[in-house]
Amino acid sequence: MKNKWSAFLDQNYDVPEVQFALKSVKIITGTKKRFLKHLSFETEPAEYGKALSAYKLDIQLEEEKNG
Amino acid sequence: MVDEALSRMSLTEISEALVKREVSSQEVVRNSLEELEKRGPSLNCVARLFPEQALAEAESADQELSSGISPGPLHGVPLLHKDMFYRTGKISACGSKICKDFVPDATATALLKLDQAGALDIGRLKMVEFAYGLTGHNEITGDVRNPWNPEYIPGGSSSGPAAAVAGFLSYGSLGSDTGGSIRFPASCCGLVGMKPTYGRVSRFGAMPLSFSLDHIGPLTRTVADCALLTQIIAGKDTNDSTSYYQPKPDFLSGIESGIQGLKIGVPTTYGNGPSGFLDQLHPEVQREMESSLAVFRSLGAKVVEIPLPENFEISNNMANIIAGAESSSAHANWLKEQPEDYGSQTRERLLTGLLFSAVDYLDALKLRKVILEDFLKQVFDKVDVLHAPVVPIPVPTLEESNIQANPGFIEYLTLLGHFTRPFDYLGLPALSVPAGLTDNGLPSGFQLVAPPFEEALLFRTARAFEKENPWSYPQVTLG
Repeated sequence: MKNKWSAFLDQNYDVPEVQFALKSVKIITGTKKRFLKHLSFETEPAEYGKALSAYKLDIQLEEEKNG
Repeated sequence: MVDEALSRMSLTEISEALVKREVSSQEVVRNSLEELEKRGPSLNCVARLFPEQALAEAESADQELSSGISPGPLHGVPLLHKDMFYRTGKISACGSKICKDFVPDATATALLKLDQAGALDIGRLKMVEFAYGLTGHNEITGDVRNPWNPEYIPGGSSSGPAAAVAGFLSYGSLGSDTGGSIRFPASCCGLVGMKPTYGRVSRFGAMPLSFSLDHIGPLTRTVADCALLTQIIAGKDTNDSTSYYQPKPDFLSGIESGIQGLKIGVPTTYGNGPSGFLDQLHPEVQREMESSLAVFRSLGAKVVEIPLPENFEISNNMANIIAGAESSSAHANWLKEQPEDYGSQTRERLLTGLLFSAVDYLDALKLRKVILEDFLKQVFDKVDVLHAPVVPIPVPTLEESNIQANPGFIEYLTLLGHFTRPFDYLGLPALSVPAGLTDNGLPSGFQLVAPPFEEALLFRTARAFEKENPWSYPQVTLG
Protein backbone atom coordinates (compact mmCIF):
# COMPACT_ATOMS: atom_id res chain seq x y z
CA MET A 1 0.00 0.00 0.00
CA LYS A 2 2.80 2.37 0.91
CA ASN A 3 4.17 2.12 -2.62
CA LYS A 4 1.03 3.78 -3.96
CA TRP A 5 1.49 6.92 -1.93
CA SER A 6 3.10 9.91 -3.45
CA ALA A 7 6.75 10.70 -2.91
CA PHE A 8 5.65 13.46 -0.57
CA LEU A 9 3.87 11.00 1.68
CA ASP A 10 6.74 8.55 1.60
CA GLN A 11 9.14 11.27 2.65
CA ASN A 12 6.85 12.60 5.35
CA TYR A 13 5.29 9.44 6.68
CA ASP A 14 6.63 10.11 10.16
CA VAL A 15 5.28 13.68 10.26
CA PRO A 16 2.38 13.76 12.76
CA GLU A 17 0.10 15.84 10.48
CA VAL A 18 0.50 13.28 7.70
CA GLN A 19 -0.27 10.43 10.05
CA PHE A 20 -3.40 12.21 11.33
CA ALA A 21 -4.54 12.86 7.76
CA LEU A 22 -3.98 9.26 6.72
CA LYS A 23 -5.90 8.04 9.74
CA SER A 24 -8.83 10.35 8.94
CA VAL A 25 -8.90 9.25 5.32
CA LYS A 26 -8.85 5.60 6.35
CA ILE A 27 -11.80 6.10 8.70
CA ILE A 28 -13.81 8.10 6.16
CA THR A 29 -13.28 5.76 3.22
CA GLY A 30 -13.63 2.57 5.25
CA THR A 31 -17.33 3.15 5.91
CA LYS A 32 -18.43 2.66 2.31
CA LYS A 33 -17.09 -0.86 1.86
CA ARG A 34 -20.19 -2.74 2.98
CA PHE A 35 -22.44 -0.77 0.63
CA LEU A 36 -20.36 -1.06 -2.52
CA LYS A 37 -21.77 -4.50 -3.29
CA HIS A 38 -25.11 -2.83 -4.03
CA LEU A 39 -23.59 -0.84 -6.88
CA SER A 40 -24.15 -2.45 -10.25
CA PHE A 41 -21.36 -2.73 -12.80
CA GLU A 42 -23.09 -0.13 -15.00
CA THR A 43 -23.63 2.55 -12.33
CA GLU A 44 -22.53 6.05 -13.38
CA PRO A 45 -22.22 9.17 -11.19
CA ALA A 46 -24.50 11.18 -13.51
CA GLU A 47 -27.46 8.98 -12.58
CA TYR A 48 -27.76 10.96 -9.36
CA GLY A 49 -28.84 14.08 -11.23
CA LYS A 50 -31.46 12.14 -13.15
CA ALA A 51 -32.86 10.66 -9.95
CA LEU A 52 -33.04 14.07 -8.29
CA SER A 53 -34.66 15.95 -11.15
CA ALA A 54 -37.10 13.19 -12.15
CA TYR A 55 -38.51 12.51 -8.68
CA LYS A 56 -41.28 15.10 -8.74
CA LEU A 57 -42.26 14.24 -12.30
CA ASP A 58 -42.39 10.54 -11.46
CA ILE A 59 -44.68 11.23 -8.48
CA GLN A 60 -47.00 13.33 -10.64
CA LEU A 61 -47.17 10.63 -13.31
CA GLU A 62 -47.94 8.01 -10.69
CA GLU A 63 -50.71 10.15 -9.20
CA GLU A 64 -52.24 10.68 -12.64
CA LYS A 65 -52.04 6.95 -13.33
CA ASN A 66 -53.81 6.19 -10.06
CA GLY A 67 -56.51 8.75 -10.79
CA MET B 1 -28.31 59.34 13.99
CA VAL B 2 -29.12 55.66 13.55
CA ASP B 3 -32.81 54.76 13.32
CA GLU B 4 -32.93 51.39 15.09
CA ALA B 5 -36.58 50.84 14.21
CA LEU B 6 -35.65 51.09 10.54
CA SER B 7 -32.81 48.61 10.99
CA ARG B 8 -35.06 46.14 12.79
CA MET B 9 -37.67 45.96 10.03
CA SER B 10 -37.81 42.70 8.13
CA LEU B 11 -36.90 42.50 4.46
CA THR B 12 -40.55 42.32 3.41
CA GLU B 13 -41.46 45.23 5.72
CA ILE B 14 -38.72 47.52 4.43
CA SER B 15 -39.56 46.59 0.83
CA GLU B 16 -43.20 47.56 1.36
CA ALA B 17 -42.25 50.77 3.14
CA LEU B 18 -40.04 51.74 0.21
CA VAL B 19 -42.66 51.02 -2.42
CA LYS B 20 -45.26 52.98 -0.43
CA ARG B 21 -42.68 55.77 -0.18
CA GLU B 22 -42.96 55.86 3.60
CA VAL B 23 -39.18 56.00 3.57
CA SER B 24 -36.69 56.69 0.78
CA SER B 25 -33.99 54.35 -0.38
CA GLN B 26 -31.42 57.03 0.39
CA GLU B 27 -32.60 57.16 4.02
CA VAL B 28 -32.46 53.39 4.32
CA VAL B 29 -29.00 53.13 2.76
CA ARG B 30 -27.59 55.97 4.89
CA ASN B 31 -29.01 54.31 7.98
CA SER B 32 -27.49 50.95 7.00
CA LEU B 33 -24.08 52.48 6.32
CA GLU B 34 -24.16 54.25 9.71
CA GLU B 35 -25.13 51.02 11.47
CA LEU B 36 -22.36 49.14 9.67
CA GLU B 37 -19.81 51.77 10.63
CA LYS B 38 -21.00 51.87 14.23
CA ARG B 39 -21.53 48.18 15.00
CA GLY B 40 -19.82 46.28 12.17
CA PRO B 41 -16.35 46.37 13.75
CA SER B 42 -17.48 44.82 17.04
CA LEU B 43 -18.93 41.83 15.16
CA ASN B 44 -15.97 41.79 12.72
CA CYS B 45 -18.43 40.82 10.01
CA VAL B 46 -17.81 43.37 7.25
CA ALA B 47 -15.29 42.62 4.50
CA ARG B 48 -15.84 45.80 2.47
CA LEU B 49 -18.50 48.37 1.68
CA PHE B 50 -19.42 50.21 -1.51
CA PRO B 51 -20.77 53.43 0.08
CA GLU B 52 -20.51 55.86 -2.81
CA GLN B 53 -22.02 53.45 -5.29
CA ALA B 54 -24.73 52.51 -2.79
CA LEU B 55 -25.79 56.11 -2.23
CA ALA B 56 -25.78 56.87 -5.97
CA GLU B 57 -27.90 53.81 -6.71
CA ALA B 58 -30.26 54.70 -3.86
CA GLU B 59 -30.75 58.15 -5.37
CA SER B 60 -31.55 56.55 -8.73
CA ALA B 61 -33.96 54.13 -7.06
CA ASP B 62 -35.83 57.02 -5.43
CA GLN B 63 -35.97 58.93 -8.72
CA GLU B 64 -37.30 55.86 -10.54
CA LEU B 65 -40.06 55.46 -7.99
CA SER B 66 -40.96 59.15 -8.29
CA SER B 67 -41.19 58.81 -12.05
CA GLY B 68 -43.79 56.07 -11.68
CA ILE B 69 -41.89 52.97 -12.78
CA SER B 70 -43.19 49.59 -11.69
CA PRO B 71 -40.82 48.63 -8.87
CA GLY B 72 -39.30 45.20 -8.37
CA PRO B 73 -39.96 43.34 -5.12
CA LEU B 74 -36.72 44.64 -3.56
CA HIS B 75 -36.70 48.11 -5.07
CA GLY B 76 -34.11 50.24 -3.28
CA VAL B 77 -33.37 47.71 -0.52
CA PRO B 78 -29.70 47.55 0.54
CA LEU B 79 -28.20 44.08 1.01
CA LEU B 80 -24.75 42.70 1.82
CA HIS B 81 -23.56 39.23 0.84
CA LYS B 82 -20.90 36.65 1.65
CA ASP B 83 -17.52 37.65 0.21
CA MET B 84 -17.61 34.97 -2.48
CA PHE B 85 -20.28 36.34 -4.80
CA TYR B 86 -18.54 37.86 -7.78
CA ARG B 87 -19.38 41.22 -9.28
CA THR B 88 -17.46 42.52 -12.24
CA GLY B 89 -14.78 44.94 -11.10
CA LYS B 90 -15.29 44.35 -7.36
CA ILE B 91 -12.87 42.38 -5.19
CA SER B 92 -14.04 38.93 -4.02
CA ALA B 93 -11.49 37.86 -1.43
CA CYS B 94 -13.32 34.66 -0.35
CA GLY B 95 -12.11 35.12 3.22
CA SER B 96 -8.54 34.50 2.12
CA LYS B 97 -5.13 36.07 1.70
CA ILE B 98 -4.68 34.29 -1.62
CA CYS B 99 -7.64 36.07 -3.28
CA LYS B 100 -7.34 39.36 -1.40
CA ASP B 101 -6.89 41.25 -4.69
CA PHE B 102 -9.01 39.01 -6.92
CA VAL B 103 -11.25 41.07 -9.20
CA PRO B 104 -13.66 38.88 -11.18
CA ASP B 105 -14.71 39.67 -14.73
CA ALA B 106 -18.23 38.30 -14.34
CA THR B 107 -21.17 38.83 -12.00
CA ALA B 108 -22.90 36.03 -10.14
CA THR B 109 -26.27 35.05 -11.58
CA ALA B 110 -27.83 35.26 -8.11
CA LEU B 111 -26.64 38.88 -7.81
CA LEU B 112 -27.97 39.72 -11.28
CA LYS B 113 -31.36 38.36 -10.26
CA LEU B 114 -31.32 40.50 -7.12
CA ASP B 115 -30.32 43.50 -9.27
CA GLN B 116 -33.33 42.86 -11.51
CA ALA B 117 -35.55 42.75 -8.40
CA GLY B 118 -34.27 46.22 -7.51
CA ALA B 119 -31.93 45.33 -4.62
CA LEU B 120 -28.85 47.44 -3.98
CA ASP B 121 -25.57 45.60 -3.44
CA ILE B 122 -23.79 47.65 -0.78
CA GLY B 123 -20.97 45.39 0.39
CA ARG B 124 -19.45 42.06 1.25
CA LEU B 125 -19.41 40.11 4.51
CA LYS B 126 -16.66 38.04 6.06
CA MET B 127 -16.62 34.28 5.81
CA VAL B 128 -14.56 31.22 6.65
CA GLU B 129 -11.50 30.99 4.42
CA PHE B 130 -12.69 29.61 1.05
CA ALA B 131 -15.93 28.55 2.80
CA TYR B 132 -14.21 25.46 4.21
CA GLY B 133 -15.32 25.22 7.83
CA LEU B 134 -18.39 25.29 10.07
CA THR B 135 -17.27 27.15 13.18
CA GLY B 136 -16.69 30.60 11.69
CA HIS B 137 -13.05 30.93 12.74
CA ASN B 138 -10.75 32.56 10.21
CA GLU B 139 -7.00 32.77 10.83
CA ILE B 140 -6.59 35.25 7.96
CA THR B 141 -9.35 37.82 8.41
CA GLY B 142 -10.17 37.26 12.09
CA ASP B 143 -13.10 35.54 13.75
CA VAL B 144 -16.62 36.86 13.23
CA ARG B 145 -18.61 37.20 16.47
CA ASN B 146 -22.11 36.10 17.34
CA PRO B 147 -24.49 39.07 17.99
CA TRP B 148 -26.21 37.10 20.76
CA ASN B 149 -22.93 36.96 22.68
CA PRO B 150 -19.60 38.00 21.14
CA GLU B 151 -17.71 35.30 23.02
CA TYR B 152 -19.49 32.63 20.97
CA ILE B 153 -19.08 31.45 17.39
CA PRO B 154 -21.56 32.67 14.76
CA GLY B 155 -21.12 29.40 12.85
CA GLY B 156 -19.77 29.17 9.35
CA SER B 157 -18.87 29.28 6.71
CA SER B 158 -21.42 32.05 6.12
CA SER B 159 -20.30 33.65 9.37
CA GLY B 160 -20.47 37.28 8.25
CA PRO B 161 -23.96 36.96 6.70
CA ALA B 162 -25.30 35.29 9.86
CA ALA B 163 -23.81 37.89 12.20
CA ALA B 164 -24.86 40.81 10.01
CA VAL B 165 -28.47 39.67 9.55
CA ALA B 166 -28.96 38.68 13.21
CA GLY B 167 -27.24 41.93 14.25
CA PHE B 168 -29.60 44.08 12.09
CA LEU B 169 -26.81 45.17 9.76
CA SER B 170 -28.41 43.64 6.65
CA TYR B 171 -32.04 42.81 5.83
CA GLY B 172 -30.95 39.47 4.40
CA SER B 173 -27.89 37.97 2.79
CA LEU B 174 -26.78 35.31 0.35
CA GLY B 175 -24.63 32.48 1.66
CA SER B 176 -23.43 29.14 0.40
CA ASP B 177 -23.88 25.63 1.80
CA THR B 178 -21.54 22.75 0.92
CA GLY B 179 -21.66 20.93 4.26
CA GLY B 180 -24.07 23.10 6.23
CA SER B 181 -22.63 26.59 5.75
CA ILE B 182 -26.04 28.31 5.52
CA ARG B 183 -28.03 26.23 8.02
CA PHE B 184 -25.30 25.92 10.66
CA PRO B 185 -24.70 29.68 11.12
CA ALA B 186 -28.43 30.32 10.76
CA SER B 187 -28.99 27.99 13.71
CA CYS B 188 -26.17 29.56 15.77
CA CYS B 189 -27.52 33.08 15.22
CA GLY B 190 -31.27 32.39 15.38
CA LEU B 191 -31.99 32.90 11.68
CA VAL B 192 -33.94 31.25 8.91
CA GLY B 193 -31.58 29.70 6.36
CA MET B 194 -32.50 27.91 3.15
CA LYS B 195 -30.35 25.38 1.36
CA PRO B 196 -32.42 24.81 -1.77
CA THR B 197 -32.48 21.64 -3.85
CA TYR B 198 -29.21 21.01 -5.70
CA GLY B 199 -29.68 22.70 -9.07
CA ARG B 200 -32.50 25.02 -7.95
CA VAL B 201 -30.26 28.12 -7.70
CA SER B 202 -27.41 28.88 -10.10
CA ARG B 203 -23.91 28.84 -8.64
CA PHE B 204 -22.47 30.75 -11.59
CA GLY B 205 -20.24 33.55 -10.33
CA ALA B 206 -20.03 32.15 -6.81
CA MET B 207 -16.67 30.86 -5.57
CA PRO B 208 -16.55 27.09 -6.03
CA LEU B 209 -15.62 24.83 -3.14
CA SER B 210 -17.03 21.49 -4.24
CA PHE B 211 -19.07 21.64 -7.43
CA SER B 212 -21.04 18.48 -6.64
CA LEU B 213 -22.15 19.79 -3.26
CA ASP B 214 -22.22 23.60 -3.48
CA HIS B 215 -25.60 25.26 -2.94
CA ILE B 216 -26.54 28.97 -2.84
CA GLY B 217 -29.27 30.30 -0.58
CA PRO B 218 -30.39 33.10 1.74
CA LEU B 219 -30.16 33.80 5.48
CA THR B 220 -32.92 36.02 6.85
CA ARG B 221 -34.76 36.94 10.04
CA THR B 222 -38.19 35.69 8.92
CA VAL B 223 -39.56 32.80 6.89
CA ALA B 224 -41.32 35.15 4.45
CA ASP B 225 -38.05 37.01 3.83
CA CYS B 226 -36.34 33.72 3.10
CA ALA B 227 -39.11 32.67 0.71
CA LEU B 228 -38.91 36.02 -1.08
CA LEU B 229 -35.15 35.86 -1.63
CA THR B 230 -35.29 32.21 -2.70
CA GLN B 231 -38.08 33.06 -5.14
CA ILE B 232 -35.92 35.74 -6.73
CA ILE B 233 -32.67 33.80 -7.06
CA ALA B 234 -34.11 30.40 -8.08
CA GLY B 235 -34.31 29.20 -11.68
CA LYS B 236 -32.49 27.56 -14.53
CA ASP B 237 -29.30 29.24 -15.70
CA THR B 238 -27.48 28.19 -18.84
CA ASN B 239 -24.24 29.39 -17.23
CA ASP B 240 -24.50 26.65 -14.58
CA SER B 241 -24.55 23.18 -16.09
CA THR B 242 -25.97 21.71 -12.88
CA SER B 243 -29.05 23.92 -12.69
CA TYR B 244 -32.33 22.26 -13.63
CA TYR B 245 -35.46 23.29 -15.50
CA GLN B 246 -38.12 22.77 -12.84
CA PRO B 247 -41.46 24.49 -12.27
CA LYS B 248 -41.01 27.28 -9.73
CA PRO B 249 -44.18 27.83 -7.69
CA ASP B 250 -44.82 31.10 -5.88
CA PHE B 251 -43.12 30.35 -2.56
CA LEU B 252 -45.06 33.13 -0.81
CA SER B 253 -48.59 32.54 -2.07
CA GLY B 254 -49.41 29.45 0.01
CA ILE B 255 -47.18 30.27 2.93
CA GLU B 256 -50.05 31.06 5.34
CA SER B 257 -52.18 28.00 4.58
CA GLY B 258 -51.15 25.99 7.63
CA ILE B 259 -50.07 22.41 8.16
CA GLN B 260 -53.20 20.59 9.32
CA GLY B 261 -52.66 16.88 8.63
CA LEU B 262 -49.06 17.27 7.53
CA LYS B 263 -46.91 14.25 8.35
CA ILE B 264 -43.61 15.19 9.97
CA GLY B 265 -40.97 12.48 10.33
CA VAL B 266 -38.53 12.29 13.22
CA PRO B 267 -35.51 10.15 12.31
CA THR B 268 -34.63 7.17 14.49
CA THR B 269 -32.25 4.35 13.54
CA TYR B 270 -30.34 3.53 10.37
CA GLY B 271 -32.37 0.59 9.05
CA ASN B 272 -32.83 -1.98 11.79
CA GLY B 273 -29.38 -1.29 13.19
CA PRO B 274 -28.54 -0.27 16.74
CA SER B 275 -27.30 3.23 15.99
CA GLY B 276 -29.48 6.21 15.28
CA PHE B 277 -29.20 9.52 13.47
CA LEU B 278 -29.83 11.46 16.69
CA ASP B 279 -27.45 9.47 18.91
CA GLN B 280 -24.90 12.25 19.30
CA LEU B 281 -27.41 14.97 20.11
CA HIS B 282 -26.76 17.07 23.22
CA PRO B 283 -29.62 16.90 25.77
CA GLU B 284 -30.23 20.66 25.67
CA VAL B 285 -30.58 20.61 21.89
CA GLN B 286 -32.79 17.52 22.21
CA ARG B 287 -35.01 19.49 24.59
CA GLU B 288 -35.46 22.27 22.02
CA MET B 289 -36.19 19.72 19.28
CA GLU B 290 -38.93 18.16 21.39
CA SER B 291 -40.42 21.58 22.17
CA SER B 292 -40.58 22.41 18.49
CA LEU B 293 -42.27 19.09 17.73
CA ALA B 294 -44.87 19.84 20.41
CA VAL B 295 -45.64 23.09 18.58
CA PHE B 296 -46.08 21.22 15.31
CA ARG B 297 -48.44 18.73 17.00
CA SER B 298 -50.49 21.60 18.39
CA LEU B 299 -50.83 22.96 14.86
CA GLY B 300 -52.41 19.76 13.59
CA ALA B 301 -49.39 18.01 12.17
CA LYS B 302 -48.88 14.31 12.74
CA VAL B 303 -45.40 13.58 14.10
CA VAL B 304 -44.16 10.07 13.39
CA GLU B 305 -40.88 8.32 14.12
CA ILE B 306 -39.19 7.00 11.02
CA PRO B 307 -36.11 4.82 10.52
CA LEU B 308 -33.69 6.03 7.88
CA PRO B 309 -32.14 3.83 5.20
CA GLU B 310 -29.19 1.85 6.49
CA ASN B 311 -26.87 3.32 3.86
CA PHE B 312 -27.74 6.90 4.89
CA GLU B 313 -25.30 6.42 7.77
CA ILE B 314 -22.34 6.93 5.41
CA SER B 315 -23.67 10.10 3.76
CA ASN B 316 -21.60 12.42 5.93
CA ASN B 317 -18.40 10.54 5.09
CA MET B 318 -19.25 10.31 1.39
CA ALA B 319 -19.77 14.07 1.33
CA ASN B 320 -16.40 14.51 3.00
CA ILE B 321 -14.72 12.43 0.28
CA ILE B 322 -16.37 14.43 -2.50
CA ALA B 323 -15.70 17.80 -0.89
CA GLY B 324 -12.14 16.77 -0.08
CA ALA B 325 -11.30 15.63 -3.59
CA GLU B 326 -13.04 18.45 -5.44
CA SER B 327 -11.75 21.26 -3.23
CA SER B 328 -8.20 19.92 -3.33
CA SER B 329 -8.40 19.72 -7.10
CA ALA B 330 -9.61 23.32 -7.31
CA HIS B 331 -6.83 24.51 -5.00
CA ALA B 332 -4.04 22.33 -6.41
CA ASN B 333 -2.04 25.15 -7.96
CA TRP B 334 -2.14 27.40 -4.91
CA LEU B 335 -1.34 24.45 -2.65
CA LYS B 336 1.82 23.87 -4.65
CA GLU B 337 2.85 27.48 -5.13
CA GLN B 338 1.84 29.30 -1.94
CA PRO B 339 0.76 26.85 0.77
CA GLU B 340 1.96 29.25 3.47
CA ASP B 341 -0.76 31.72 2.47
CA TYR B 342 -3.55 29.45 3.74
CA GLY B 343 -4.72 29.31 7.34
CA SER B 344 -3.53 26.12 9.01
CA GLN B 345 -6.92 24.35 9.13
CA THR B 346 -7.77 25.13 5.51
CA ARG B 347 -4.34 23.97 4.34
CA GLU B 348 -4.50 20.73 6.30
CA ARG B 349 -8.01 19.96 5.07
CA LEU B 350 -6.99 20.63 1.48
CA LEU B 351 -3.91 18.46 1.84
CA THR B 352 -6.00 15.68 3.33
CA GLY B 353 -8.28 15.89 0.31
CA LEU B 354 -5.33 14.99 -1.89
CA LEU B 355 -5.17 11.60 -0.18
CA PHE B 356 -8.52 10.35 -1.47
CA SER B 357 -8.12 8.04 -4.44
CA ALA B 358 -10.02 8.45 -7.70
CA VAL B 359 -11.84 5.22 -6.84
CA ASP B 360 -12.92 6.58 -3.46
CA TYR B 361 -14.21 9.72 -5.13
CA LEU B 362 -16.14 7.87 -7.84
CA ASP B 363 -17.57 5.41 -5.34
CA ALA B 364 -18.89 8.32 -3.29
CA LEU B 365 -20.49 9.85 -6.39
CA LYS B 366 -21.99 6.55 -7.53
CA LEU B 367 -23.42 5.75 -4.10
CA ARG B 368 -25.16 9.12 -4.08
CA LYS B 369 -27.92 7.99 -6.44
CA VAL B 370 -28.47 4.72 -4.56
CA ILE B 371 -28.71 6.42 -1.17
CA LEU B 372 -30.95 9.20 -2.54
CA GLU B 373 -33.40 6.72 -4.06
CA ASP B 374 -33.52 4.66 -0.86
CA PHE B 375 -34.04 7.82 1.18
CA LEU B 376 -36.85 9.13 -1.03
CA LYS B 377 -38.64 5.78 -0.93
CA GLN B 378 -38.17 4.95 2.73
CA VAL B 379 -38.75 8.45 4.08
CA PHE B 380 -40.89 10.49 1.72
CA ASP B 381 -43.27 7.68 0.84
CA LYS B 382 -44.29 7.84 4.52
CA VAL B 383 -43.92 11.47 5.59
CA ASP B 384 -44.16 14.89 3.95
CA VAL B 385 -41.17 16.50 5.65
CA LEU B 386 -38.38 15.36 7.94
CA HIS B 387 -37.53 17.23 11.16
CA ALA B 388 -33.92 17.13 12.38
CA PRO B 389 -31.49 19.17 14.46
CA VAL B 390 -28.91 21.40 12.77
CA VAL B 391 -26.08 21.82 15.28
CA PRO B 392 -25.59 18.77 17.54
CA ILE B 393 -24.37 20.74 20.56
CA PRO B 394 -25.12 24.10 22.18
CA VAL B 395 -23.26 26.87 20.34
CA PRO B 396 -19.65 26.73 21.63
CA THR B 397 -17.48 29.70 22.51
CA LEU B 398 -14.89 30.96 20.05
CA GLU B 399 -12.17 29.77 22.41
CA GLU B 400 -13.38 26.24 23.10
CA SER B 401 -14.02 25.48 19.42
CA ASN B 402 -10.82 27.05 18.09
CA ILE B 403 -9.36 23.72 17.08
CA GLN B 404 -7.39 25.02 14.07
CA ALA B 405 -5.40 22.08 12.65
CA ASN B 406 -4.85 20.32 15.96
CA PRO B 407 -5.12 16.51 16.05
CA GLY B 408 -8.69 15.38 15.66
CA PHE B 409 -9.92 18.53 13.91
CA ILE B 410 -11.36 16.58 10.96
CA GLU B 411 -13.30 14.32 13.31
CA TYR B 412 -14.57 17.41 15.19
CA LEU B 413 -15.74 19.06 11.96
CA THR B 414 -17.31 15.78 10.87
CA LEU B 415 -19.30 15.70 14.11
CA LEU B 416 -20.40 19.33 13.73
CA GLY B 417 -21.70 18.59 10.22
CA HIS B 418 -23.41 15.34 11.20
CA PHE B 419 -26.92 16.73 10.70
CA THR B 420 -26.28 19.08 7.79
CA ARG B 421 -23.73 17.51 5.45
CA PRO B 422 -25.84 14.45 4.52
CA PHE B 423 -28.48 16.69 2.94
CA ASP B 424 -25.87 18.44 0.80
CA TYR B 425 -24.85 14.97 -0.34
CA LEU B 426 -28.42 14.03 -1.22
CA GLY B 427 -29.14 17.51 -2.62
CA LEU B 428 -32.49 17.74 -0.81
CA PRO B 429 -33.93 21.14 0.16
CA ALA B 430 -33.45 21.90 3.86
CA LEU B 431 -34.59 24.93 5.83
CA SER B 432 -33.08 25.89 9.19
CA VAL B 433 -35.54 27.53 11.60
CA PRO B 434 -34.92 28.98 15.10
CA ALA B 435 -36.33 26.68 17.78
CA GLY B 436 -35.30 28.06 21.16
CA LEU B 437 -32.36 28.80 23.42
CA THR B 438 -30.00 26.38 25.13
CA ASP B 439 -28.81 27.05 28.69
CA ASN B 440 -25.99 29.34 27.50
CA GLY B 441 -28.59 31.74 26.07
CA LEU B 442 -27.61 31.01 22.47
CA PRO B 443 -30.09 29.92 19.77
CA SER B 444 -30.65 26.38 18.63
CA GLY B 445 -32.46 25.57 15.40
CA PHE B 446 -34.13 22.65 13.72
CA GLN B 447 -34.17 21.91 10.02
CA LEU B 448 -37.00 20.70 7.86
CA VAL B 449 -36.07 18.54 4.87
CA ALA B 450 -38.36 17.89 1.90
CA PRO B 451 -38.34 15.93 -1.36
CA PRO B 452 -36.54 17.52 -4.33
CA PHE B 453 -37.86 20.92 -5.43
CA GLU B 454 -40.44 21.11 -2.60
CA GLU B 455 -39.10 24.33 -1.10
CA ALA B 456 -42.64 25.77 -0.98
CA LEU B 457 -43.68 23.04 1.44
CA LEU B 458 -40.76 23.90 3.71
CA PHE B 459 -41.66 27.58 3.78
CA ARG B 460 -45.32 26.81 4.56
CA THR B 461 -44.35 24.44 7.37
CA ALA B 462 -41.80 26.83 8.85
CA ARG B 463 -44.18 29.78 8.62
CA ALA B 464 -46.84 27.88 10.59
CA PHE B 465 -44.25 27.27 13.32
CA GLU B 466 -43.03 30.87 13.26
CA LYS B 467 -46.55 32.24 13.71
CA GLU B 468 -47.11 30.02 16.73
CA ASN B 469 -43.65 30.50 18.17
CA PRO B 470 -42.62 34.11 17.44
CA TRP B 471 -38.91 34.74 17.67
CA SER B 472 -37.30 37.79 19.17
CA TYR B 473 -33.75 38.93 18.65
CA PRO B 474 -31.54 40.35 21.37
CA GLN B 475 -31.19 44.06 21.85
CA VAL B 476 -27.78 44.46 20.31
CA THR B 477 -25.57 46.48 22.60
CA LEU B 478 -22.22 45.98 20.92
CA GLY B 479 -19.98 48.76 19.82
